[in-house]
Amino acid sequence: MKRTIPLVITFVCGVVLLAAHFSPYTHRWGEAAMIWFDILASIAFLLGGGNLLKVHLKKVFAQQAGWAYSLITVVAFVVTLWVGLVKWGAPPAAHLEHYGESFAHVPLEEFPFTYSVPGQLPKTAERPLLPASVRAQLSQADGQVVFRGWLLPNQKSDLLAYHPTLAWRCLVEQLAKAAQPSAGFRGKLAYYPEPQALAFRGSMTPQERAELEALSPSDAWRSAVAALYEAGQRQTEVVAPTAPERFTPEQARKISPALDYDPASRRLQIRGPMSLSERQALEQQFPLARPKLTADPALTSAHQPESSTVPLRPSAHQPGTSIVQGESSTVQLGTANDQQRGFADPYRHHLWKALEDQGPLTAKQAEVFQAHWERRWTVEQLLEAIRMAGVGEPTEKTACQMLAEKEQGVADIQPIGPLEPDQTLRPEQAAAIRTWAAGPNLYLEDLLEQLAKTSGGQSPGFIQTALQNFFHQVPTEAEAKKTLCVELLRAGPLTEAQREFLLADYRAEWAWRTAVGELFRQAHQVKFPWSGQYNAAGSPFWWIYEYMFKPLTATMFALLAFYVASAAFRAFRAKNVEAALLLGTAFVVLLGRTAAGTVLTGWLPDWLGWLRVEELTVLIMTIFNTAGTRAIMIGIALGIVATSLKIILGMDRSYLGSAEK
Amino acid sequence: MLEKLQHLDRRWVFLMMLLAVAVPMLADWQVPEKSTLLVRQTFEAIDRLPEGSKILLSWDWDPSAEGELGPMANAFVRHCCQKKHKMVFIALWPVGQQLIDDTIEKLIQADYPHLVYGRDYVNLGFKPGNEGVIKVLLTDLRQLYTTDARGTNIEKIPVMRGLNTVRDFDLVVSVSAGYPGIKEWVQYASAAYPNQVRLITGTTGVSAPLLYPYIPDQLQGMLGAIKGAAEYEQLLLEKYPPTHGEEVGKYQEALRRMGPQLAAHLLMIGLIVLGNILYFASRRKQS
Repeated sequence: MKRTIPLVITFVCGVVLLAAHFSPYTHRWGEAAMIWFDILASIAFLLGGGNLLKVHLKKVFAQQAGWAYSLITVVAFVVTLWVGLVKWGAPPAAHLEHYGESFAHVPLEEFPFTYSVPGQLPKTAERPLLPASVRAQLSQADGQVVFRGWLLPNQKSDLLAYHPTLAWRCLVEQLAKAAQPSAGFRGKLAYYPEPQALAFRGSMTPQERAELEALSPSDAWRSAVAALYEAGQRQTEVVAPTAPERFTPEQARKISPALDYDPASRRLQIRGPMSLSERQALEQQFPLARPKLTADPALTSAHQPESSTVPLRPSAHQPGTSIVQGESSTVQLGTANDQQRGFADPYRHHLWKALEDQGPLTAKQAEVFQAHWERRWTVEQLLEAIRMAGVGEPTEKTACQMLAEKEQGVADIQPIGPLEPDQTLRPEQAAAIRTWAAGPNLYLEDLLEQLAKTSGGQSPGFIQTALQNFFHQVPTEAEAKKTLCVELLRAGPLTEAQREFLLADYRAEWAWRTAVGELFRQAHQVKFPWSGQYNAAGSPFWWIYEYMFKPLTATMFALLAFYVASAAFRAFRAKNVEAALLLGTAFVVLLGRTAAGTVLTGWLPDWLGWLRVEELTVLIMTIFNTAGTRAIMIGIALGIVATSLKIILGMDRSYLGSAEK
Repeated sequence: MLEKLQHLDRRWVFLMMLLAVAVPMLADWQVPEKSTLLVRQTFEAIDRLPEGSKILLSWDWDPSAEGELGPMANAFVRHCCQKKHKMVFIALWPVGQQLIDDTIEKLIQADYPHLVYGRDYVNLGFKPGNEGVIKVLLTDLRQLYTTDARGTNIEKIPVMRGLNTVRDFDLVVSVSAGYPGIKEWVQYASAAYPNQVRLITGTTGVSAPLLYPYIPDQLQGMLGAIKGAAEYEQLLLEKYPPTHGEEVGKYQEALRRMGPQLAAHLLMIGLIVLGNILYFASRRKQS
């Protein structure tokens, strides 16, 4: 029996794989056999791991020759297995963590709110099961479709995609409208069925707690609300080494009422968890990169002629001084030449001058600087982005609207409704954007304020969205200067003062962002600690891979060059005709794989072109090498066929450890 | 003297090899490259595809082959980015997944930030099973890859729309260092569906000679060793010169390695010649 079972498995697998190769009807069998093979192989891996430990530990304990290598093997095996399996130090998966929300457990069956709409669940032969995301929450009773919980956007999409009929989609829309938290809690409260968790966004106030507790007398509900309230009251704070120039406690509270900032101690506090948008808003407290200002006579005359001076933002490392050392906080505009050309970009000029004042720069660096500035954003690009955002889009009809049209007998139902009217920027707003762009420090909130003042009572919604999308891709001035520093260093050296000038602002920005990140991390309630990837950047597994595995394997491979050279010197001898031919071929291929071949034989005339080393290399590889390789491959294939047949038919049992053939 | 050379300590050979590689490397010695027909065919296989074609990139190698395969993997990806092809990455080797992450982070995200993960490219990660993976990919890849490497449901990844088997891809690129690799792709994918699966590869110097029999029917193109990578880089730089935003040196890695390779090859030839001179001299002396 011990031998018969493996023989039968081998026979069945062999026949199935053979059949799968030749008959399309049995492809699936072959795949199933391969999957089973993988499962068995993974079990074999476990056995292999156990065996490795057994063999090497035995050697270590007995202190046999080379026991230290065995110890290294065992330690490496255990450490890698440990950090990989328990995901030690790996951050949880971001898309599952619901940043900014606190979770409290409420079993689905004890969730107190159910919603129903008249209708029936569709069941088709193609899709016998409801979507997995709603299966536990959706049911049917007395001609009503009943949903326990609040319908999440992804659940709505899954249900809409489940059945294509208008009636079903209209029912889903009605259900999505009904199955929502009460108006005051929309966007704050959610119920996630998979972890069976009630979630609250931000910090819950005592009034919100009272309102929520009044919604249901259920114990599970009330204790969950209490837990969420407690989680929302947890204070977290960090001390920021530096703070943005304009950041005040009012600014912090404007971002979130749960945030607080003490300028004296630079203590940044938050009550409850921090959302990603709050983190982003906190991080973006620095001026945006200056634009590339193009020649614009109107701009030049409107904003800069009076004194020909523009106040520049002092650098962070030298408070109160100009970016140009030894000058006052206002500096002269660009050169007369620049102004004659109508070139209204004084900041570029002054940035370059400040760099030059602090050390020499090469011609290549000047080119790099020019190229850097050419890549900066322009006011025209921003205006175009706003214009595009204002273009009216067609409205999409709901399924219920289309169903109503169908019931009214409309023959050709279109899913697209009329176009929304276009929205345009007022001339005053465009002028405000230009003025802002030419100003000293570019803060987005200043621009939004100016635009609101000049809106003439219009809703600036589309402008705000366009601005946020546009500036999401624009770096801060400090980031732009850091990039410039790297680019200049690639083109030539920079002095210590030049590097300090270009990097000081970024260093301060980095310190602030690190503090904000730390606050975000500390304030977050981890929901699924094992959901991250074992090899996430920064995790111990990643460190092992990046700084041990990679260099060690590359080194092992590179050592070949030394051994091959030594072996060739000692053993590669033209002892007979065959060895001499091999030697000649090796020379040709070695030279042909480098530029030396071209240099040595490039002078040969075209009619003797086939004698050029690189052509000879191709000839050797495609004719002689291919012929030889084919012969070997055909031989191996025939050998495999013969051996496989012997194994499948049980004639060769050597793989079972038997001497019997 | 003859006696001394015959018994030359091998550490001198090691030192010579070290200098032959290190000096050109430190001096940044570069040599001009002229592309061969096979490399041009490989280049054309990607270049002739219309914009937005779907390409499966199989990273079947590990860091030990980084010296040879890293530059060609980068060159393939940069070419795909330039042509705006849609890229789907998989790995048949366990550490291939990390190499894909490296490529995405250091190349695509750094130099092509406008390309969006999920829309323009996706990393499906490593699956064990060697040629078994290729077999399943031939019939229904969604059976094996239910999510990408980040855990996103494959049904929700836009770039995967309409891609159900390997046959739905316009091209398969395998950067291969051994088993499982391009040979398995040829045997199980290209041989099974000769007109439906188009394959090109970048492979190590020791693997390349074994793959010539498959060219051009089952394998439409091949880059062999660092030389192939350098020629490909040259073609790529000529056709798509780097813009300001790209880190140029990153795409000249193979070209930069050809200088040390030339010096090392010349040293090898010199050593073989010297070894044979010593051999014949000692034979004459004995006779």
